Amino acid sequence: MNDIVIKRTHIYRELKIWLLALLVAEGVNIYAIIKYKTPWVELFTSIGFVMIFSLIFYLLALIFRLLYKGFARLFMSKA
Amino acid sequence: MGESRRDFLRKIAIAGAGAAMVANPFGQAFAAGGNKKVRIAVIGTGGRGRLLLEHLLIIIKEGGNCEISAICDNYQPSLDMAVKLCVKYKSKVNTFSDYRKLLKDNVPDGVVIATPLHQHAHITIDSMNAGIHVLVEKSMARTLDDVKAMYDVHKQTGSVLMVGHQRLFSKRYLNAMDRIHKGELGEIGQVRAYWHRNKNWRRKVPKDKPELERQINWRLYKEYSAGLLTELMSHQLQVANWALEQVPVSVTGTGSIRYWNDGREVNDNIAAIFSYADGTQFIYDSMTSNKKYGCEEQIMGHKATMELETNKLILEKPPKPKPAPGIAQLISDIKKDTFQSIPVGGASWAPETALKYNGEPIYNSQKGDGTKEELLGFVDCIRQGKNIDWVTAEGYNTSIWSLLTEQAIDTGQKLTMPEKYII
Ligand SMILES: NC(=O)c1ccc[n+]([C@@H]2O[C@H](COP(=O)([O-])OP(=O)(O)OC[C@H]3O[C@@H](n4cnc5c(N)ncnc54)[C@H](O)[C@@H]3O)[C@@H](O)[C@H]2O)c1
Repeated sequence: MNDIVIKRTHIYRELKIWLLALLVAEGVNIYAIIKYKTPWVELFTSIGFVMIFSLIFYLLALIFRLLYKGFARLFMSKA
Repeated sequence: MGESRRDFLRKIAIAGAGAAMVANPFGQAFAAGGNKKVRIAVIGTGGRGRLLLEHLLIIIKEGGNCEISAICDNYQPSLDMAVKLCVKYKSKVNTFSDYRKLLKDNVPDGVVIATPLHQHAHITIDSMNAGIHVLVEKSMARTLDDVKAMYDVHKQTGSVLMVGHQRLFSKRYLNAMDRIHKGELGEIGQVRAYWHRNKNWRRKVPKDKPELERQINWRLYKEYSAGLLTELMSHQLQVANWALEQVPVSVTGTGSIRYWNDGREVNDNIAAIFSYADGTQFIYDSMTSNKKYGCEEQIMGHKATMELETNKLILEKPPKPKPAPGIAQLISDIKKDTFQSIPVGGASWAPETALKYNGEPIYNSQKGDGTKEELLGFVDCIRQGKNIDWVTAEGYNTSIWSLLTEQAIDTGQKLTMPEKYII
C-alpha cells in the first residue's frame, strides 16, 4: 500500500476553501440579521452558528470535489 | 387620631424592600410606645382562637413585648387544649370560663375575640366599655344593628377596634393594593372571587352530649351564623372593596342547600353580584361540594389582572420573549417552508379561550396569611393608643354588606345600604 503524502500546498488549499465557506456562512448571517431586523452584534454572538454553517459548506464542497474527481478519473481511464 | 389608608400604604410601600418592617407593618411603633408589656387575653379558644393564641406565643418567644394575661372559653375541652398550648410555649396563664369575670379580674390591655359570630357583639361592647382594646374575628356580628352598635361604642370609648381580616396585614396584599391603586392594572372593570371547597362543615359532637350540637356546629344554624357569607365571602368582599377603594351600592344574590342536606339551615352554595357607584361589579360565588377552582380573588383591569391568593400578575399584553438570533430564525423558516404541510381547509375562527401565559409573581416575601402581622399590628395600636380608622371601616363595611347579601338572597331582592348604617 502506498503512503499518503499530504503536502503543505494541500493544506493551504483546504484552508482557503474553508475560509471561503466561512465567508459565505457569515454572508448568510448578515442576510439573516437584515431580514429579521436583529442586532448587528449577532455578527459575533452568532459565531457558533456561522462556524457550523461553514463546516457544512466545506463538507458539501468536499463531497462535490470528490465526486468530480471520481467521475473525472473514470472518464480519463476510459479514454 | 387615626392613620389614613394612604399614609399606611405609603409606609408599607417604603418598607417593601426593608427587612425591618417585615414582621411588623406598623413600623417603629414598638419603640415609640415605651417598654410596658402589653397584656393580651384571648376569649374563645376554639380552632381560630388557638391559632391566634399560638401566633401570640410565637411573637412573645421572639421577643415581642407582650404577654398572654388570660385565656377564656366556656367549653372546657377548648380551654384545656389552649392551656396545653401555653404549656408547650412555657407560658403561665390564667384561665376563665366567663369573659365578664376575665374583664373584671384580669383587666387586660386588649382582648382577642374568637367566639362564634353571635357571641362577638356583646363581648366586644363589654370589653370596650371597660376601656379594653379589641381585635374581634370577622365578621363583626350576626345582625346589622349589632355591627353598628359595636362601631358606635368604639367611637364613644376611643378603644381600638380591629376586625380579623388578616389580608389587610399581608405584605403581598399590601404590595398588590399599592400597585392597583397606582393604576398598574388600568381601569378595573370587574372583580371576581370564589371559594370552593369539597368538605362538610359539620363537626363531631360527643355521643353522650347531643345537646352540644348547636353550640359546636354553630356555623350551620341561622341563629348564629350567615354561613358561607360571613365565614368565607366576607374575606373576599373585603379584598374587593379594598382594591376598588369603594363600598358597593347594591347587591343581589341567590343560594340554596343543594348537597349537604343534613338538617343545616345555611346555604351550601351561594352566588352574589355587587355593584359599585362607578359601574364596577364584584361577582362572587362559593360552594362546598367541588374544590377544583379553590379560592381566588381576581382583580381585572384593562391592562392586567391580579390573582391575589395565588400571587399572580397577568399582563393583558404578555411580555414578548427575546427573539432568537436572526440566523436561527432563518433556519427555522427554511425548515418550516420545507417540511410544513399546506392546509387545505380549517377553522376560520379561533375560540377566545384563556391565555396560556401564566403571569409573574406579585410579591414573594410574605410568609403566612397575615395573621401574625395582624396581631403585631394590634399590639402596636394598643401600645400607641391609636386606632387605624380605615382598617376598622374595612371590617365594618364588609360585615354590613355580608349581612345585606344574606337578606338579598333570602328575599330575592336587590338591596342597598340603609342610610342608618352608613359611616
Ligand atoms: N380570620 C380567619 O381566617 C378565620 C378563620 C376561622 C375562623 N374565624 C372566625 O373565628 C371565630 C371562631 O371560629 P372557630 O372556627 O374558632 O369556632 P370554634 O367553634 O372552633 O371556636 C369557638 C370557641 O368559642 C367558645 N365560646 C363560645 N361562646 C363563648 C363565650 N361566651 N365565652 C367564651 N368562649 C366562648 C366555644 O366554646 C369555642 O371553643 C368565628 O367568628 C370565625 O368566623 C376566622
